[in-house]
Amino acid sequence: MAIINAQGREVADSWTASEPGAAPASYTIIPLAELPPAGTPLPSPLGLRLPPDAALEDIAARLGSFALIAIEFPKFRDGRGFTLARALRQKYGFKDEIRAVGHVIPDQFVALLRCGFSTLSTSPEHPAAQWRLPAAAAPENPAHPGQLLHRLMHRGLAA
Amino acid sequence: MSLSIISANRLRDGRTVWRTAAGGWSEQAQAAGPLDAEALALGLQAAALEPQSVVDVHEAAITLAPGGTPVLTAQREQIRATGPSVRPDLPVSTWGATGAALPPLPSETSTSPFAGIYRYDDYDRQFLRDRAAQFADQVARRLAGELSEDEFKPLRLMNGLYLQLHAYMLRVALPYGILSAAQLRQLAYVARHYDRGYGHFTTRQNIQFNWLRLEDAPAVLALLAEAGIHAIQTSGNCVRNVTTDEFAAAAADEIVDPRVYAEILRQWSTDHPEFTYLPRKFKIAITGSPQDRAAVRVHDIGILARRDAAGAPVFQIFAGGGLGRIPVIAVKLRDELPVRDLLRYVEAILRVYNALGRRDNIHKARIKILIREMKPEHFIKMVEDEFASLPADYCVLESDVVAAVAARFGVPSFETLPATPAEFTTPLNQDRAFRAWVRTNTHPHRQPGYISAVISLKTPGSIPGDIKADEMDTIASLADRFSFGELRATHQQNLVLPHVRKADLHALWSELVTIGLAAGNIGLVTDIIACPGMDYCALATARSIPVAQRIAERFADPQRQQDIGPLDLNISGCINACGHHHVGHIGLLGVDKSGTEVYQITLGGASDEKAAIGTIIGPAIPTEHVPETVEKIVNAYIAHRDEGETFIETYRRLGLAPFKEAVYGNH
Repeated sequence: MAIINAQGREVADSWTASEPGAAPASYTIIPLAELPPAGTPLPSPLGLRLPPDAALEDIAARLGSFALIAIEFPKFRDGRGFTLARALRQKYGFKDEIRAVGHVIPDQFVALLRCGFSTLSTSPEHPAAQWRLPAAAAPENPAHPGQLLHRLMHRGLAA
Repeated sequence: MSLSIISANRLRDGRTVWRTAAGGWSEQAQAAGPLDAEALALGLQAAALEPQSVVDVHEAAITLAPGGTPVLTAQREQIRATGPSVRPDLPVSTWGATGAALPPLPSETSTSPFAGIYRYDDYDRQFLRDRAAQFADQVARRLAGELSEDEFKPLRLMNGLYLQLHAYMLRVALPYGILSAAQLRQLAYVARHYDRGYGHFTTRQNIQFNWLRLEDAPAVLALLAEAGIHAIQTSGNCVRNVTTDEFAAAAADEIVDPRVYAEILRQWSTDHPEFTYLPRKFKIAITGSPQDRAAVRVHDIGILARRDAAGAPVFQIFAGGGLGRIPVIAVKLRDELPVRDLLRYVEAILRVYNALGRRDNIHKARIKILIREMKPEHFIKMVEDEFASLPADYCVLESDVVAAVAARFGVPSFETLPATPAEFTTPLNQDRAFRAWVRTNTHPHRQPGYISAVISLKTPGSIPGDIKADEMDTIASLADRFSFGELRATHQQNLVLPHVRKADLHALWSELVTIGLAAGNIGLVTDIIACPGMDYCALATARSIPVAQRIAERFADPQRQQDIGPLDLNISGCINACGHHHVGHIGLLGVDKSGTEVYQITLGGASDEKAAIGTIIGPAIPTEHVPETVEKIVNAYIAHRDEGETFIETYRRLGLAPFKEAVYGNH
């Protein structure tokens, strides 16, 4: 498993999954189900792993405690993760790393980035070498301004 | 002992193949090795190890004829082995690549500069070329095994490519049903050189080609791109081709030009990063006039233009309508949504749906089920909350944005003409056949001296919506000559020349008579909507085309059709309801009942302002009795109608009883 950044390059990973049942440790990613009750002191930096049906409004006040949020894709066809990432960025102003984990395919790379993902974790079926970012599709590429509507609305639509 | 053979479709071209005793694949079903249960299990296991050569591997039950030849039991498998029953001239056995050199593309010489299509710039043209190249790469990765069939399928669907019974089927988008003569010529080219000489207009204002090879699909998309046509998002669990009123920008009663908003929605939804992997497909329709000609109440989102108290255009927003297994009339979310909020509001609806729509059961994944399970008031509140939480400057449709998109549409250079020229009124008074055609096949135009004309693709006996390559070329020439090179495809599977000078109408009609496309039956009983059914479709449970043909032949007499008056008859070959049977005044649904095709009949459906789901009249009818049963229903209407009353009005007044009596009573 490799971590791919927004430029399509493999990068070192300083994060590990938390041990089930263990107290949260820094540089671990804890599942939402194991998030300690509000008010519990948390180590820093800490990662949080969200299932696709996570209710963000329930943890909105605590999102600032996390330096990384991983969003699960049980199946690449399950698009809930895109909306979760979009909401984290747009509605809750989350600025740090958002990582796609699970089953995603290289053909979704651009969509992942446009919804606010910063990294993804590869699967054995789609190793790092397959994650090539189409040059023309790079977000904020001035050579790829989008169709008329996107050009007219600037920030209005997906970046 | 029950016997089977193993069948599949070849990956690279989609052709039906059968597994031989030696473990190879043959194009002839007769060459297949009959298998008992044990050998079948082994054969299926072995075939599953060949995902790079075949797809949709399945067993087909057989019996053995004298001499040991396998005879397929199921009608569907027989059709796969031989070809569409309605096209005996096109057996599967004669299908294959010819390898002949191709002539130059029509787009090199034909441009239709005056047609009211959205004009692409260099960026748009390059986008379509890039997209075709991207699909070529995806096909190559699939053939090389880098993408599994499971992963490839949504990608090919998002490019309009299905696997059907006999081959791959390509569904090409005609955005909101508008196309130019030049584009129609490009489609004719595809039909002639990459298919088997014809195409099929669908109920979503698209056109389908039934005989595509996977390995040709990228080339077809590339050549369509040269004419500004694509197949993006004509399938898959994404926002589909936005449909609208076929008389858009021509109708006299229009409040806004729905093409402009449909195009805005198209650009907004194309490759939408967040909404490309929805729980299920998503269909949006918009109508620019308060008279609903786009069936907005049976769409996932329906948009209807109206005016607020101050006279400004606003949108009424519906959501959660749909046909299929569970037909539902949409709920109203907003009465007067300001134009500037259109995209923001649609986005809020989709965000709630994408987050909460069911993904555990494909039959419960549409937004209509979510709304029903959540209760409409709760759903509306969530959408309103989401809408309210969007940043104030996000996705706002300012008037300059709308104006800039609107400016991309060609404006026909209408002449100042007399409203009713003698060249129109004289033949109207003298020529009865012309007069009858004008009554049914035209629609008032906003520009004095012009009229919209409908070309029926429902000549009794023909296949509804089918059109030959030669007919496409001929109609393209008529569009150039009579309608600024512009055409519309209707959701009733006909074509429209939107801007015809009234003075030219008789000349146009005469041309249509010459080529056999002057059926004056628009809105009448033979203007039947029908899906392709089991002759082509992998999902169908019954053959819908032959039923449509037999009914149309029975009512072929033009005088009789006129006398019966407006009547929507819709036929679907399975519960997925592509033939919109639920909203037909008479709806026919073909189902398989222990190996026999039977038809369930509904009455009273409608897709207009009085949208309603039809009511089942009684037990299903054997296919061969359907035409006479329809006739009994029609006769009951004629017997009971009041002066000037249409079929649906009589039904609404009297209910099912007299029709039920006509069909099931003792006579």
